[in-house]
Order: sequence, then C-alpha cells, then structure tokens
Amino acid sequence: MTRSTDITRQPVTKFWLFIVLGLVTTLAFGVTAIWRSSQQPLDNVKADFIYMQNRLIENSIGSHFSQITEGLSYFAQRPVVISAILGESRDNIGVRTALEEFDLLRSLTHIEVIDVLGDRIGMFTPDPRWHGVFSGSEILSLADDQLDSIEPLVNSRYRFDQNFLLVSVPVIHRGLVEGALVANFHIDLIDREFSEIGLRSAILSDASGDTESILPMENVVSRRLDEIGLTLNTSWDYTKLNNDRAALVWSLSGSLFVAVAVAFLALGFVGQSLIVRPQKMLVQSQQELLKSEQRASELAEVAESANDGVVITDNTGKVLWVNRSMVELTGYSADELIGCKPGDILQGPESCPETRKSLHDAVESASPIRTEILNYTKDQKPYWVEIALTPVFDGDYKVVRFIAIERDVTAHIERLELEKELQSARKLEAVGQLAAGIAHEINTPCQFVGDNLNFFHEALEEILPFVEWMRKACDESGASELADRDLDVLRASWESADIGFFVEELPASLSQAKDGMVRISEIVRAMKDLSHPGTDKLSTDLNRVIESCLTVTRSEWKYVANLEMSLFDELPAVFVSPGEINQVCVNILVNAAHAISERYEGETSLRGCIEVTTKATPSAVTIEISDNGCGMPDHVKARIFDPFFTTKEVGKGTGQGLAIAYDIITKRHNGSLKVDSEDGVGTVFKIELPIEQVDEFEQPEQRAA
Amino acid sequence: MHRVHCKPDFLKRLSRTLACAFALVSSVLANAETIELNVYLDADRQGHLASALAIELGVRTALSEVDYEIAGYRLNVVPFDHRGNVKRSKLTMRKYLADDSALAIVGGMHSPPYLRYQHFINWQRVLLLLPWSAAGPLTRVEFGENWVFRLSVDDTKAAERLVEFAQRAGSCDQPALVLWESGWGRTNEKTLSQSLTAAGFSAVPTFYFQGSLRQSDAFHLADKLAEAQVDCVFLVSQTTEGAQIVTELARLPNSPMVISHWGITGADFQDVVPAEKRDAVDLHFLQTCYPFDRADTPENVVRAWNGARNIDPSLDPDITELRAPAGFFHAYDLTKILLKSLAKHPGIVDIRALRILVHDSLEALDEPVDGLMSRYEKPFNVFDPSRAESVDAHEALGLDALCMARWDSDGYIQMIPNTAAALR
Repeated sequence: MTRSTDITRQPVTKFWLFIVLGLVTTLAFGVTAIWRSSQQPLDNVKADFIYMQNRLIENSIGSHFSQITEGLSYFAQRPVVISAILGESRDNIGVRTALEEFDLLRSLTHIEVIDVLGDRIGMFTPDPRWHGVFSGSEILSLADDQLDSIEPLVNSRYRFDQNFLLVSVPVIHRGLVEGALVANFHIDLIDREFSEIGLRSAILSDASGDTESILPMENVVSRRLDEIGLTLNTSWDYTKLNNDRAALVWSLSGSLFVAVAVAFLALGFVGQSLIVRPQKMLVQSQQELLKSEQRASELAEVAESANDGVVITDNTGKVLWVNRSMVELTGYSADELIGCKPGDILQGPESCPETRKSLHDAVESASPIRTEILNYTKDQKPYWVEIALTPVFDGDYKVVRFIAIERDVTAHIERLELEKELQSARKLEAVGQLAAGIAHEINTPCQFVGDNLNFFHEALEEILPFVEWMRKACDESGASELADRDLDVLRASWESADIGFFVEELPASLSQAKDGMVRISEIVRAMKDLSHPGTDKLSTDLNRVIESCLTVTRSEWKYVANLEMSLFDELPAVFVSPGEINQVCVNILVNAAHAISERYEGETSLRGCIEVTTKATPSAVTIEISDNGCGMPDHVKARIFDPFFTTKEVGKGTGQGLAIAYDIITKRHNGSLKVDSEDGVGTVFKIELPIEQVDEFEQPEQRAA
Repeated sequence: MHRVHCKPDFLKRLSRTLACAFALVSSVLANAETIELNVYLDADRQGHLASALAIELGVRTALSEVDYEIAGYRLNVVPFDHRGNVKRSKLTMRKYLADDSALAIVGGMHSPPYLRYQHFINWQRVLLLLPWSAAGPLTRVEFGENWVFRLSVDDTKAAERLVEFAQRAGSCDQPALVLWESGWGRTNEKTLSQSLTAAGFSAVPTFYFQGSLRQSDAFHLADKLAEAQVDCVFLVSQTTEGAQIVTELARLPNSPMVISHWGITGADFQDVVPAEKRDAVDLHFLQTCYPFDRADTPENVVRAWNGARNIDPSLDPDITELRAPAGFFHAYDLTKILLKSLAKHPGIVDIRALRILVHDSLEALDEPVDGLMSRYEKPFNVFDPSRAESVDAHEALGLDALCMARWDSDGYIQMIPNTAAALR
C-alpha cells in the first residue's frame, strides 16, 4: 500500500512542479525579452519591420493590378470590341455601350479603346475625379512616329502619374495585337492602417531604383516591382516606429506572460481534475482490486481444497473449472472436463433418465436442484453422486454460471440398499417364522374338511342308486305300483328340486373340493418347507424342493408363462440345505417370470414358457430352469451374480438375490451355478449339486418330507 | 469620321496642269539614273495568305517579264500585312503617302479597308489597284476623283451571276442571304436583294454574322436557317467564317444549297472543309472565267507560269495546283496594264505628279494589253460621276467574265462555263 501510494504521489508532485516551473520560466522569458529588446540596436528591427510592411503593400498593389488586368483582358476579348478594333462595325456605339455596361470597369477612373491608328474608338469615365491629365491617346502620341505604335504600349503596361495608374492590355485578333484597352485608375497607397504604423508616404514611380534600398536617415525604401514595372517608394516615421516597436514589445511580452500564466493556471486546475483526481481514484481502485483478488484467492482455496467435487460451469452448463476432489472422484483430468458438459461424459446407460432430464431442465431454467444420480468414472466404474446445482446471477438477473457440489454417496446408497434388503429379509424371515405356525393351524381344519368330504363322497355313492330308482319310477308309466296321484306328486317334487341337476353335478363338485384341499395341503407344506429354519443340511429330494418352489411362485408365473416340468424320477437325494436351495430356486423362478413378463409386456395373447428339468449323474444332481424371457446382454450376464447388481429400477430389486444364490450354491454347497442367456431369446440357469454320502445314522425327521 | 474635300473642277484641272508641267520640267532636268518606284501590296497575310501570295506572284510575274524595269523606273514590290484589320490598311496608306517612291497600292482580297477609307484614298490620291476586292462602290464615287481601278469581280454584277446560277440550278425556292457584317457584306445585301427581287423572290431573309465567327455562332446560324426552311443560301463571307458556316450547314438533315461569293476562295477552304461536306451543300462559288483547265492550258498562261516558277521554284509545274488562282491571273493582268500606263511617263521624279499621270494614263489607255485572261483593248475609262455610263469606267471586267465554279473531290477548281463567256 505504501509503495503504491508513493508511486501514485510521484506523478502528482511532478505535475505541480511542472506548473510552477512553467510560470517561472514564462516570467523569466518576459523579463529577458523586454530587457534584451531595450538593449538591441533598433536599425535591424526597423529594417525588418519596414521590409515586412512593404511586402504587404506590394502584395496589395499586385493583387489590385492583377484584378484590373484580368478584367480588362476579358473585356478586350469581347467580339464587339474586336470588331470595332478591326473596323468591321460601321460605328463604335457598340463599344461605348459595352464599356458602360461592364461592371468591373466602374471601379476604374477612365477607360479608352484605342485602335492601331491610335484613334480612340470608345471611352468611358466612371470616376468624376478624372481630370484628363493623362490619356491613352497621349501615350500613343509618344510613339506616333512609329507606325507599329501599339507594341510599345503593350510592353510597358503600367505607367504612373501622381496617384493615377495607367494600365493597358492588348486587343488580340488571331493571336496578333490589333488594338489596346487603356485604363486609368486611382490608387491610394496610404490608407489608415498603414499610416498608423508609421508609413508617411508611398509613391509609385517609373524611376528604376535599386531592387531594394533603405536609407537610414530618410527612412525611404525603394523597391522595384518587376511584375508591374514600377518602383515603390515608401518613407517611414522613425520616431513613431521606435515608439510603436517598444510598445509592441512591452505589450507582446506582457500579453505573452499573462497568457502563459493563465494557461498554466488553467492547466493546473484542469490537471487537478484530469490527472490528480483520477490518479487518486486509480489508487483507490487498485486497493479495492487487491482486496477483491485476495478474497477471491481465499474462496478459490476453499473450493480447491473441499472434499466434495466442485464444478463451475458457464450458463450453458459447460465446465469452466473443477477442483482437485472432482478430478479424483471422476478420474478425468481438469483439461478433459473443462469445456464439456458433465452429463455428457460422467453419466452412462444406467444413469436414471428422469434424473438426467431434471438436471438438464434445471440448467435450462436456471433453477437450483439437489438430486442423486449414478455417474461413471473414466474407467466406467459406477458411483452414486449427490449433486447440488446452484445458478449464479449477475446484476441484471441473468444467469452467468452454475456451481455444482458433487458428493460421492455410493457408500450411503449401498448402505441404504443393504438396509432395505435386510428389512426385506427380516420380513421374509418373519413371514417364514409365521408360516410354519400358520401352516400347522391351516393343516388341521384342512384335515377334517378333507375327511368330511370323503364321507360325503361315500354317502353319495350309496344314495345315488336310490335316486336313480326314483327317477325310473317317475319316468315309466302304467307299470308303477304307486298311485297316479302319488306319482304326480313325486314327479313335481323331482322337477322343483332339480334333482337331476344335483345328481349330475354333485360328484364333480365333491371331486373339485377334494382337489382344492389337496392343493391347500401342498401349499401349506411348501410354505412349511420354505420356512424351514436354519441352514442345516439334510438329505433332500430336489424334485420335491422344485415342486414346492413352483407352488410358492405360481402367482408370479401362472399369468405369463406355461410350465413344463421334466423331473427325473430316480433323482438321488443330495445333502443340502432345503431352505437355501428353495431360496435359490424361488429367486430363479421369480426372475424367469419377470423376464417373460418384460418380454411379452402388452401382448396378452402370448405366453412364455418356463421349463424345469432335473437330471442326475453319478456325482451330481442338476436342476435346470430355463425361460424364453427377454434374456440378458453379455455385459449384464457377466455381472449377474455381482452383489447389488440389478437391472431393475430402484425399489424393484436390490441386486442381492442371485448374488446370495450364487454364494449358497458355490460356497455353501460346493456346487455350481451357471447362466446362459441371449438377449431377446431367453435364459437358462443350471444348478449342479454334488451327491454326497448320506449319513446312515441320520434321523428320519431330518429327511425332507 | 470622314472629312470630304470637294475641290472645284477648275482648281482640279489647274493643279493637275501644274503637276504635269512640273513633271515635265523635272524630267528634263533629271539625270538618266533609274528611278526607284515601290508597288505596295496591301493584303491579309494571316487569315488569307493564299490570296495574298497569289496576288503577289501575279504582280511579280508581270514585273519579272520586264525585269522589274520599265521606262527608266525600277519597280520594287513591298508587301504589307493588314491582318484583316482595315485600320492597318490605313497605316499602309499613310506610309504610302509618306513614301516618295510609292507608286501604287495593289489591294488584297478584302474590300472593307478600301470601302472604309475610300474617301481618304480618293482625296489623298492613293493609286489603288484592286485585283480581288469586289465591293461595288469601290470603283464608283458620287463626286470628286476616283483613284481606284479594279480588274476583278464587281459585286454589282456578281449578284446577277449568283442569282442566275441559282435559277439555273433549279433548287432554290426558299433563298436566304448569309452575309459578313462588313462593308462588303452590306453592299452585297443591296445588290443581291435587287437581283433576287428582279428574279421574282420577295422577303428573302438576311442573316449577318460577325467576323471572328465562333463555331457556336455558326451552329446557331445553321439552326436558324433550318427553322426558316431555307433551301438555298447566298453566302458572302471570308474563308474562315465561310468554312464554319458550310460545315454547320452540311450537318443539317436537309442541307441547303450554298451559292457563295468568291470570298471563301482566298485561303485553304478546300483543306478545311472536306469534299463530302462541300458536296452536302452542293457548294458553288463565284470566280472570274480565267483559263484553269488542267487539260488545256493556254500557251501564254504556261509561259507566265514558268516565269512565276522562276520567281518561286517551289511552285508546282501544274498551275492548277495554285491556291487562289484568281489573284494570280488578275494581278498579272492588272500589273501589265499598270506597266503599259507607266511606260508612257518616263523620268518623272515627283511621285505625286507621276501618280497623277499614271492615273490618267490608266483611264486613257487604248493600247491593247495582253493579259492571261484576255486582251484588254481599253480596260478603263475616264470616270465622271455625273455620267451614268461611266459607272463601270474603272472596271476592267464585266458580267461575261464571271463564272461559277466548284471544287472537285481532290480540291481542284472546276469552272462551270456560262452560256456565253465573253469579256468586255
């Protein structure tokens, strides 16, 4: 600050120093000029002054002559003049008239048109002062003896007598002189302007004096004017010149001093506003700028060192700046990110389209938004990020940039999914726990309902022959031993009770009821199997496990697919945890149903197909569950057993099912779980379990029923 | 301003008698030395040089045939250039009067100088011989002495020839006069008007133009003639102005026929105005009927031309190459007549007396003079202003000596013969 103040104060100091020096210099100049002029010899000054004034008079004379000469030359070219000069016209009235009508000639004193004989063929006297002292004819009379008298007149164009000058211009015909215009005009060389500066007299003469001479004692200047052939003689008042010169020097010096002093003072005041004040304002601006820069630097450090990713974009969403954390989070370098739109390179195929649209709309509408989205690093590794996007406005409420804070929430999301899965698992566990009790509770009434149905069935078999006999009795006529009246009553009762219908339908109803009970029993048993607590391994009939799974998942697949089972009758028992195998098969069957549903969505007339096959080899038992659903692309198939990997929407699948299944089969049962799928065709899951020796001392209740 | 001096007849006769007596005495007392005489040539050697040179050539050729000497006189030709300025002619006349050796002035093609100073000429007894100037009044005075002798076209007859030709051409129903604003132009207006009136034309429009005519003036003049639907123009002009007028008339869609006085032939008209423009206006001009046939040049003309070529070897052997040939023929013949008259008065020292004697001899000459154009039995007569029959006393040529001519495509003059061409 001090250094900048010193720097800015220097120009101001120099400025005022310049002003003061200027004033002093001006004063010194004025004093010196006056002193020196008083000491200088006067003759040189006077000579210069007179010379200069003479020049002015000469120029004035010259221009006056030129004007008149040009006017006369123009007039001399007029056809009426030429005709009169040549004697072609009968009289000279035309010439006289032309002289009087030519305006330029009115400034002259006297004009004559003279022919080659020296005769005056036209004359005009505008100036009443003309007293005929000198005339053109008298000029010609001087050369009257010479027959070619016109030439000398033209050559000596200017003659002078007192204050009347004589100018003659030739009248040209076919390039040759045939006559002359001779004009007299009065010239007053001494006007008030020149007399005030010391001119005493100015005379033009024919005497050819020296080109230039000044006689100091008489102050007479003679100068030959070659242009007009006359000599200008001027005489000057010496005393007046001296006095005037001294006064001029004093006034010039004084005026100069005052003018310069005023100028410098004005410059000082102007400089104050144009230089000093702006300089101060500049200093102030510099200080404020320094503060702004410091503040900006601090803010930049905050942004740079934040743990979260910070992205600054322009008003179209293109990256202008990213901090270190953003680089680390995404794996892209700052240069790779700058100039791009984050969504174009960070988001991928599994990034939620609705969330992407929301972000896009927020940029378009310059609205703040906070959301979560799945992004991808440069290595295409997915990660969840919470984005807080904030627009920045200028003074005119126009968006100038966006600031996005991006926080990696992958761990948080995974934790939330785990918690959801855990909650689902707990629910299922709870349901499973209840299932056994419910199964038991349901089983008992199912049992005696089933027994009663059996009784009804047996009784019906006894009653049906009697009813048949009654029917025959009602139908046959004439041979019945019943009275007609009783027969009629019997027939009417048969009709109103619709006995025939009952006879026809009752067996089927009872049969269906019995089937229903059998099914309830099977479901209960399946639920019981499913809810089998713990993971203890038992010698298990996998066919039965399959059937239970199919029963439990019927509601998932029965509306969308046909089931085809091909279970190996002699399937050996395997030593597995039935509950866990159940869990695996249920998961696969549900996925199959969902895949078929996805493929045939909207096509209610079409149904898929689920095939379940069991096979056995000497060493292993195989369960194959295949479907003709939507299948999986290769990149999905490759990750199908990864934890938390799912192709379903959030909340519709946690991605844990197959991962757990895989874990159950491979790690807990030393088996293999393989998948084969083709996108748009279908999927086959193959479970292979090793056949293990059954412990001969295993308790019967440990065997799966 | 002109002063007129009228001397009574007896005084005139007395002065002439005393002059002759003095001349006689002086001739007796004079020694046998050759007397130098000057013949002044007063012509426009700027704008009409061809005519001036042709006249000078004619004079010199005639003088050379007598070796410039006759009757004890040695004749010198002194040319002057009046530049078309009538007042310079006056200067020449002044010089002539101040020159004790100046016998005569041979005039150029212009009439205006001599018209303007006619009285001066006659009053001061300037012996003026005109081989070209055609203005009628030049050789006619109302009173006093007449010192102008002409062997040339006479405008009092020129108009008759021009109008007769126009009638012969048959394409002149709406004539107009286009005249140079000068004495010559004004005299021709009178004679042409009279001739046209006699021919049955009336209200013939007349257009005057100034000397030093500008092209724009000629342009407007042509337009005026077109507006007046003129089909025939009688032109009295000098060469330069005539060329401008003919050029502008040729540009008109219906160019009128131009019948011109001979003023346009004094310079190089045919070089300035090309053949197609001359033909466009069917230009014809007045000439005297001098022998100018390339195919048949008379022997005397050949002889005279050879003499001319001795004076100026640069001349073409063919006389038809001569520009302004009328000046040569007329000047030659006129000089022959002068010499014949001068020869009758040898040894006269006093120039004024000699002039009188020569003047009288010219009027009285009755010895034939062989000229190029004709044999002149009695070229001139005594001029008596009181007698009407002496109106042509100082005219050597008559109407029959006037012909019309034209330039062919190569610029050579072609004479158009009259029905009866005969000289007085």
